[in-house]
Amino acid sequence: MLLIPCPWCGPRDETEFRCGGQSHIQRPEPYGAVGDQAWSDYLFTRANPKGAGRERWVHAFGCRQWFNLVRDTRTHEIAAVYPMGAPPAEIAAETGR
Amino acid sequence: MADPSAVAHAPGLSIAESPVAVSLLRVRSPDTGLTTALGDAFGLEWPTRPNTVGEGRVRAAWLAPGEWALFDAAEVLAAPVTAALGERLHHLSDVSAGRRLWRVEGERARELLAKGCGLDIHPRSFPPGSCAQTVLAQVAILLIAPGGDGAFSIIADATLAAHLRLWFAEAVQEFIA
Ligand SMILES: [Zn+2]
Repeated sequence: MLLIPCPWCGPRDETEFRCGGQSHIQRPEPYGAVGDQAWSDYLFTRANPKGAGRERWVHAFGCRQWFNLVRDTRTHEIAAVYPMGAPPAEIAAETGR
Repeated sequence: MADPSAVAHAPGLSIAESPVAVSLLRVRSPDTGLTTALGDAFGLEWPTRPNTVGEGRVRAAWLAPGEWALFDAAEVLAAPVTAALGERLHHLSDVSAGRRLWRVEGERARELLAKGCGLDIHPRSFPPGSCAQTVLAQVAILLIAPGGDGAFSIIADATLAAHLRLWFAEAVQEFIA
């Protein structure tokens, strides 16, 4: 079980959270000019890193706030937690992309 | 308000369930002036730190940024809340009908709760004046640390009351000699 550091509540059990998938996905614009490829990438194409990745999580059973975190998919190590709307966190070594 | 009904007893442990008067207050981006006004209105240090409780003419528990549980009926709270917040857009809703309260007290209360709750509730990390929204027996609860009354307060959805009642009744068995 992961111990996830909620920015508001501190470390809590993984079961109190829900993962919202990859962070920093921008909806393509403007509406009328978005082609099928760009739209399908927006909907379906995701990074699948072996290593550190940026993810959105929500403290569903706690304060119900969303936040970003950097989690290593091999070790589950959580390297950074940062607010929604903040620029993407630096990742020390972008491996396996 | 009806008398609390005993759910379970064991040596060093008692669990009672009752209705609860509780309302939710929401304000977007609360600033210090606003929380001070709320604190003054109810005679308490308003809980601005996450997962803390303030006690005065009402008990106020931090739930989320700009969101608190106030333990009274909204019709009682509306006048002082409106006076404190003035023109500031806010939302006060009475959720008493949808919640139940359990009071768990006794020297073995922590041991009992630990059977269904992963949160560290030792006074070292969950001292008086703390609260937490967490999970007990797969149910979302608001847990309030024992204060002067010596009891953990647990607030959960009324629709899940039967499940929690059964869970308490079962969980208490090992404490019955
Ligand atoms: Zn939280």
